[in-house]
Amino acid sequence: MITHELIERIEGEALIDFRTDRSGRVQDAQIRFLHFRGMEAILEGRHPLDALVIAPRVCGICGHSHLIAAVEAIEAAYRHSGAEVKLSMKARSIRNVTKFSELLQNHLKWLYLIMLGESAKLLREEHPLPLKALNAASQANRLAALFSGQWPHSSYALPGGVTCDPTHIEIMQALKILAELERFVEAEVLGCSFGEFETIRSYRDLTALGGDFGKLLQNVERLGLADTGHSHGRFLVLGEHPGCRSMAIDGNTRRAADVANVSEDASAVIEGKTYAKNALYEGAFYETGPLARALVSGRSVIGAIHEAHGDSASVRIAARMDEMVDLLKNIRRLIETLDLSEPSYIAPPPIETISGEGRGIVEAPRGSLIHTLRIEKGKIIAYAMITPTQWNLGNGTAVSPGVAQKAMIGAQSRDKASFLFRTFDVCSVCTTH
Amino acid sequence: MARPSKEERKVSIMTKALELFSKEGFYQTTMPSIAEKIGMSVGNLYNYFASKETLAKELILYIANMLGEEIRRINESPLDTREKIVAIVHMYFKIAQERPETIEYFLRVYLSNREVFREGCEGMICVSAFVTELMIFFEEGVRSGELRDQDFFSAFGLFMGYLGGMVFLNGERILPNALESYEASIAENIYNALKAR
Amino acid sequence: MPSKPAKFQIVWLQGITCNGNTHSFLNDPLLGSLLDKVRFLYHPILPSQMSLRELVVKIPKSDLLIVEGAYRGDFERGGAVMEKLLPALAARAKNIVALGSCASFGGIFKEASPESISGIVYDKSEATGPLAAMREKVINLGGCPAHPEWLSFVIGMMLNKRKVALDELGRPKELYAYTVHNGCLRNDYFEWKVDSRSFGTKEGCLYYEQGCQGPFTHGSCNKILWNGVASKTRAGTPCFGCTEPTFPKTDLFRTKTYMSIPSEMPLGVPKRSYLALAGAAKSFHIKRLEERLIDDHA
Repeated sequence: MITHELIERIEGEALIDFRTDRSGRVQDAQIRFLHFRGMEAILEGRHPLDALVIAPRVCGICGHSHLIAAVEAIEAAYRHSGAEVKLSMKARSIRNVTKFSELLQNHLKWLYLIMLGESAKLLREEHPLPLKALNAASQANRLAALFSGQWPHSSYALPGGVTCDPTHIEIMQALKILAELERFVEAEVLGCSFGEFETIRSYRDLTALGGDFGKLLQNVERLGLADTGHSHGRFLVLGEHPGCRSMAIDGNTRRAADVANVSEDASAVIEGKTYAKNALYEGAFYETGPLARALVSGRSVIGAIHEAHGDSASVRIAARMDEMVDLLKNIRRLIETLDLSEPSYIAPPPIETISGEGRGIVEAPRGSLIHTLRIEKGKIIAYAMITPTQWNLGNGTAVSPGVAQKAMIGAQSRDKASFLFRTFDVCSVCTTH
Repeated sequence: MARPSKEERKVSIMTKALELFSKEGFYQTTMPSIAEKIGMSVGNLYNYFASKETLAKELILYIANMLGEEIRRINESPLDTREKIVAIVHMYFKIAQERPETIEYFLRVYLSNREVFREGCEGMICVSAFVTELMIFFEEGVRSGELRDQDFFSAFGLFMGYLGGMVFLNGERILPNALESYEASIAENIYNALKAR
Repeated sequence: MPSKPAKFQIVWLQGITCNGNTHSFLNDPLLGSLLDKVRFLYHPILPSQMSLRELVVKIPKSDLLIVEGAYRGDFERGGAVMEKLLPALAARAKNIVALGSCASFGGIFKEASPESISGIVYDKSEATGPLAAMREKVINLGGCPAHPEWLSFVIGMMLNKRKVALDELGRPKELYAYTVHNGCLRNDYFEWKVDSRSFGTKEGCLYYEQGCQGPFTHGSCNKILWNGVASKTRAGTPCFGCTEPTFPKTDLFRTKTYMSIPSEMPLGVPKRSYLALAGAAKSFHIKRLEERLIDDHA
């Protein structure tokens, strides 16, 4: 039987065409994204720096990642053309603080608005609006805004640095907000201190946690989904992330990843039916995002439970939660070591003199985000984006399914498959930029 | 006959002072010599201008306003940029011929005795009326696509330096022909140097 | 005891969007007390009574229809085309808010297909959008995104049955009468015409070189701060004019000049007077504005 499921609350909507057997078990799932917007075409012909204003508008929840990808692509074009772009440590650190804050608010919203809500719905339980989480997410955004001027949709990163010039006042405000976020994650999300959390090595201990993360794992278990949702076991990290090198993992083999092996496949795009192109590494589907980053960087909690349970739904969920802890630690380190006496911005040569190609790769909330552009004398000639969700939500065939497709195949029902789909943190607006 | 108002008296003092300053220079001209030329007592002259410096500053303001007013009329006319250049050159040379003391004052007193004008006439404050109109002339020329976009001062220097230089050569009687006979070629040169490519 | 008044019912509909206004709204620090008074019949992220499928079938009555995103007639939401869905929901709504620049004027997404994409009432600044006939009940909250407090102000006014005074583009005067320049911490530099010669500093005005549109953009960005703490100009970023129908212009980080004179004057200021004033202001060399504001970070 074929049914079309409308998936909402994913930053837009998607349709999944499910093929199920008599018992309702999912045999195949085709993912469709309907809302093509043509951002790349909007950028072509414009002044290169306009990308710093336009590109973030691809996405309301991860626009900042798009900003950083765009600015790094332009900086790469400078270098490609033989010109120098220097960045102070301060500018690098500030970009990372704001980027990590965005990841943090994303993960909080995903846990509270999407996953706890959807799991409660499947269990026919109440899930009151988690205002405390929205407050925490908005604090993360406030932390970013101290440097980036606003969130969403800041354009404060420029080739050569950042536009802001923070003082100790912003640093003290940032530390105050950070302390509140740490308290929230310890008390509400985990239900234990970071120190205790990091000693956990078993899935049992994770589900026993008293916080909302533990509650989600318990819900997943009650739904019988904890040990389902396995995919190919192939992972990819292409951008910079704390503790990560660019790497591809396939089962037990790990090797340095090269972006030259990335390809896009538009064969699944059918006008009017879906606009999502597949992103492939060495011609195959790879999972990207928090689980990939946790495994590449060898974070111990996730390493241990992945070892025992593989790339299951609950391990995927745990990786996103564990990443919050890691992000908070990194934000603290960056803010505490920020040297305010360094320049925020070192002016590069005028961009009107630059002709070249560049690529910016960012580890966005959902995985590796790639912007590639070509500039000629102050004009964008070509612009291309590959978004994280194109890696995870691509459409393959029944023989060679995409990452989320494979995770859904075999699910007991469409509802459960849809829930597994959401463990990838779906974003329709990015997918069909 | 009604007695002239204080304002009218001021203007007539300034007209006479302008002649003296432009002929004798700032330091050779004294308040007593100005008073004598007008036929008033030195004490009375001080009722109108508190000092020679004040008088000198009022004069440059007066000239800048007068020139500004002339260029404004041209700016607001329906001429295209090329024709406006011709009109500005013509206006400037005409004033240099008919009222040479105004241009002389600008070149020989204002530009040559900057220390006098430091206080109260810093930068371009006292010539702002004139400079503003030229800014508008240039801005509109670029906006309409007739002139090439560049830094204001490189264009301003080219235009006014050229005109000032010609008036100077004329004053020194170096020019073989009458000043107005150069108008067309000078306007052409300025246009060619500033026009959009 | 009087019965509790029925909650104010809101439908939040998305057109062609990035969800930026949704996420901006979630930043409202007093969201809880607002949500006590309203009920979302439909919202794309927050818990709501109906699913999208139900919304497009039932077309409920509402006290307020919020539209986020640009309009294109054949764009589909939940299987329904906007051409039918938007007018139907609008007709059954007491009030309508076009939230953000896309819904107000077309915004960024209009660039992809200028002939077919517009705001709901306005197409740029022309009132030719699909809801032009209902413009009396539409409030435009231009901005990319709109600030959460702009929306909660408007909802608050509706809850308190007060009329919102609008400007000629249907934007609340109390929010858009100001320019973004108003309250900018760099006003001292603007006043005395001191350029910010570079990005990345607190010093200098961004209007002369860096493309700042603050002096001629309507909005309260420097009055009602972003995320409670900042604004673009406070973070050294020029204003891009995102609240205006002209957004997005081109060459956004550079001031368009003609012979060094900014092509756009501060709102309502004649060029001649501005230039005279600027010439005078520039001739003062004010030491405190020419050096670093705080000279020692160590």
